[in-house]
Amino acid sequence: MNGTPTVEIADLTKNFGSTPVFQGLDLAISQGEFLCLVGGSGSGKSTLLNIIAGLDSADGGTVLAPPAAVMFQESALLPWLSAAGNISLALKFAGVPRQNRAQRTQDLLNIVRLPGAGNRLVHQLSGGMQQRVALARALAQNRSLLLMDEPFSALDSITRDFLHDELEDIWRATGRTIVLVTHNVREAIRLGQRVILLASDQGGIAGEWQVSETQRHDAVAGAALAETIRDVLHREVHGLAAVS
Amino acid sequence: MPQLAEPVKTARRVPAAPAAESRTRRVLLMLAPLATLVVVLGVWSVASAVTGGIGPTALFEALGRLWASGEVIQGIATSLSRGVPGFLLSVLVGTVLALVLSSSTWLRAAVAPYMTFLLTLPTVAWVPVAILFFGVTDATVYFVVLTGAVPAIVNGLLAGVDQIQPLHRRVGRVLGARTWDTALHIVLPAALPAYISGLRQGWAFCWRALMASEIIAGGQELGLGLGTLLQRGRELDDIGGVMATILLILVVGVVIEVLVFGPLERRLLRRRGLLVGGSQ
Repeated sequence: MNGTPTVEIADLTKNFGSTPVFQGLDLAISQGEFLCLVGGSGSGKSTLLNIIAGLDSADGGTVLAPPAAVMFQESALLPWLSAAGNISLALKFAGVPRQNRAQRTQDLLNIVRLPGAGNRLVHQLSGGMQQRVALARALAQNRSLLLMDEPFSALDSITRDFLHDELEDIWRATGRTIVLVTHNVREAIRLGQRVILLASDQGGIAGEWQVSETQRHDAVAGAALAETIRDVLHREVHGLAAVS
Repeated sequence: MPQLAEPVKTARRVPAAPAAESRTRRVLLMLAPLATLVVVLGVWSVASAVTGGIGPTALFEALGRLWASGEVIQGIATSLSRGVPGFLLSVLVGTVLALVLSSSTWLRAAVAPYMTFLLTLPTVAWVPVAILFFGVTDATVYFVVLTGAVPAIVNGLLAGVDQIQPLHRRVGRVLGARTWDTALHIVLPAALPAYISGLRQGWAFCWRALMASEIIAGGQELGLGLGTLLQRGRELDDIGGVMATILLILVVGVVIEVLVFGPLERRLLRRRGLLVGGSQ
């Protein structure tokens, strides 16, 4: 990527007990980039995201990253608050004055197309609605870096497609840097400008692909790239070969 | 080709969705403890008729006598005038203490076992100690109430803190919550169900401790509380008066449960979608 790096990771090492997860990983993420991380189970996708977010520590190397907003696999909304309450709490922690919070909350609910859902409690929202509220809460933090850990994996395909469009619109409108972890190669190509495949057993990067606008929006054009990535992913998962 | 049999259509009753808890049902549920009381009095009445012992009639006569003399209201008012502030003070002390203990593994390891120790120690054991320190004063009552209620509240909140989903704590961290914000907006609400159980138990301990201190230390200095009334009944060999006072002590405890803790817990569970009819 040509832009200014907003996240710089150099020589990162991380072990879980005696099992190495990363061994000398280098990665730079540009300002405003949409990066997707894919990989098999245990390849360290979520761990890398947590290290960037400061929720997990590295064993070695350097990680330079601005404060990030994070969206988890589950909506992770606080069940004792309404949809608006969850967003408003994020605004409060972000230092937004009390008198501005109600309007700002409504603006964020409008952005995720849930204008009338503010008073609903978490258990009264569908899975898709909960993830949209979680997205609004992440946007409430007004941070330039948004980290998303398989945010759509528990949703049905129709809701997921809808949220892909919504997320892309938000990314274009706000210019945020987004790092999205997914196990779904199709989703990675649909959203990411760049897709990185984490190695399952080498503790590094197994493959990296730039995704063109055409490949992102034309299913046929994206299919060939998806096939290539899936091939490498299958070989990674089954341990047949390492491809860089 | 063999002919397939025509599908047979059968009527099936679709199970009705559980109805939202109606107001009548809620009121009846609140009155359920009274039904138990009626059954107990009935059994007692039969038993006394068979054995020729003292029956509920003596209790009601004594209750009428105490009511006419104004001692029912006076007894309840005097006891509650110490019980309620004592409990509120316990809630404040217990909550702050539990939040502080939950924030430090070392502090918790050093202090929390003593909370359990205090819970197992009958609060009545503190009464002589308190009298020696404070004399027969309000301070004695509050000391005994605090030693009874605070450990229950601390243990309840600590149990709730232990059950907080790690994901909710992480949410607090990624949202940039400071220590006090986390305690107030994440830890306390997340631990609320167990906290309310702790408060409920704290009230029971508070009420018991109050009665114990009034019975033992009661006298002119403390006024005519329910515990003092009970002790006076014993001294006058007035079994009706004693039973009537026990009934009053029970009724106050049940009323607080029915009017305060029951609705509080139901509201909490409904809000979190954990109660039938909880969508509204």
